[in-house]
Amino acid sequence: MNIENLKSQMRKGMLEFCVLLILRERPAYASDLIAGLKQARLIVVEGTLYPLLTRLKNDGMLAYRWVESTSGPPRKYYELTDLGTSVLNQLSAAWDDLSLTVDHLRNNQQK
Amino acid sequence: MKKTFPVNINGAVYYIDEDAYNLLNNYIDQLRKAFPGKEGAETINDIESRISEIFAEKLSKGKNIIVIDDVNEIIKQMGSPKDLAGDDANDADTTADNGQTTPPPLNAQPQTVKRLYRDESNKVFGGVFAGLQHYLGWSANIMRFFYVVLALFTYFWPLLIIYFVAWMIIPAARSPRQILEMTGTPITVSNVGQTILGTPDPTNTPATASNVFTDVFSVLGKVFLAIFGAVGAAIGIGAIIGFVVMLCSVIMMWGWHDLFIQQNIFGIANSFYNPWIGTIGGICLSVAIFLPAAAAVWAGCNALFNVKAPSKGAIITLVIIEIIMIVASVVLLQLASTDHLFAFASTAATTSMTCIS
Repeated sequence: MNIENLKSQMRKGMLEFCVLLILRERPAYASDLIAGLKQARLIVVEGTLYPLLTRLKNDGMLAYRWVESTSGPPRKYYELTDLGTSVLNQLSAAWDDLSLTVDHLRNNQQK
Repeated sequence: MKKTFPVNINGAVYYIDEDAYNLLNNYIDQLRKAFPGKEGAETINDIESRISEIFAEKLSKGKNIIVIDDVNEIIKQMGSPKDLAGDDANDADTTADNGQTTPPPLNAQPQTVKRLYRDESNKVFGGVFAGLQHYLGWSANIMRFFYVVLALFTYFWPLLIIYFVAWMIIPAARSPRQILEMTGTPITVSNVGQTILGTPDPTNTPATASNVFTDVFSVLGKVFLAIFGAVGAAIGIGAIIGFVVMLCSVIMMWGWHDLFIQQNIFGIANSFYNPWIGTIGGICLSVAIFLPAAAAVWAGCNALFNVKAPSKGAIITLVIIEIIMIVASVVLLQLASTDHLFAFASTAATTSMTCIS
């Protein structure tokens, strides 16, 4: 297990959380999600997002509707469901805990 | 110049090069394997629609056709099937052991199809032996050597015909998929990509030492075929003219064919009881000699001076005619050299048989 692998594992763990976070603000197309996640350097290849979206949708955290696009066929427009929002809140709480712990450890080390 | 087809991706039509199509098709096939089931199908649809979007973006920049580089770029952007499948596999973390819920690792079941193709990149004439080298694993030059030796012992024609038939029947490996099938390399996206980009797997490249021999074989073979073909064609043409003249003589001098036979104008004639059948048989024999001779001249010229190669249909027709001529000449000459009455009876029998059928 090398360092790159560890880093990618960390990013992978955050991926669902970040997708839900992006969708909390406003519904989005898959391409918007990709743009956002790529900017945050959370995904390297786009293909990883699609199975994840399908899984989140099947678990009831996301819903989509078809929206006509000006160029080409209609596209899926993803939004958060109530379940998704509650999962997001739980994840947010978990993240707060985690980040507290990590911050605490890092600050201790620096002293 | 390349073949281009229209493809429908998620309801939009794009024009795509043949090799780009093969690569994309292969990629999507592998994704299907990586994401099985209903959920997988939905994922594939999403990915296809994303690919469609990317194509649309590319084409709005004034391009008309999707080429192989575009597809390679998309695969890089979307990720290899291994990367994507690895995502789910890592969640379960026991890919190989339970293997039921997780998709099979892609490299574990590559398609190792091996087919016989002609290898045109290492060819002397048609690449038949170069193709056999891939298929059988024997050295092409050793096979070529034995072929030439065997040809010399069998009066050249049978093996020449066999070669031409093989050339005609065995398809050339042209597309990347065919090249991989020829060499028996598992077909994976990266392989196909490599083949397309012209950097084949180093294990597949033939030993460079054989190239000198291939060149020598190539030049010697072409010269030999051209000379031999020219001589053969000359004999063939001569024989045809001789026999046609004889046929004309027989037609004209039918009344005095006794004299004709006594004079023994063409040497062979007096060995026939029946000059008619003998002459027609002779013509068939001449054509049978002439056709491969002409083919050899043609092939020799084709190799030496870049003369246009005959079409496949023409070759098939010629081979069929050749076979008919060989059979006909053997039968007719046999008939002609046996008893007159017997010959007549058999001709009558064959005629009535054909009438009945």
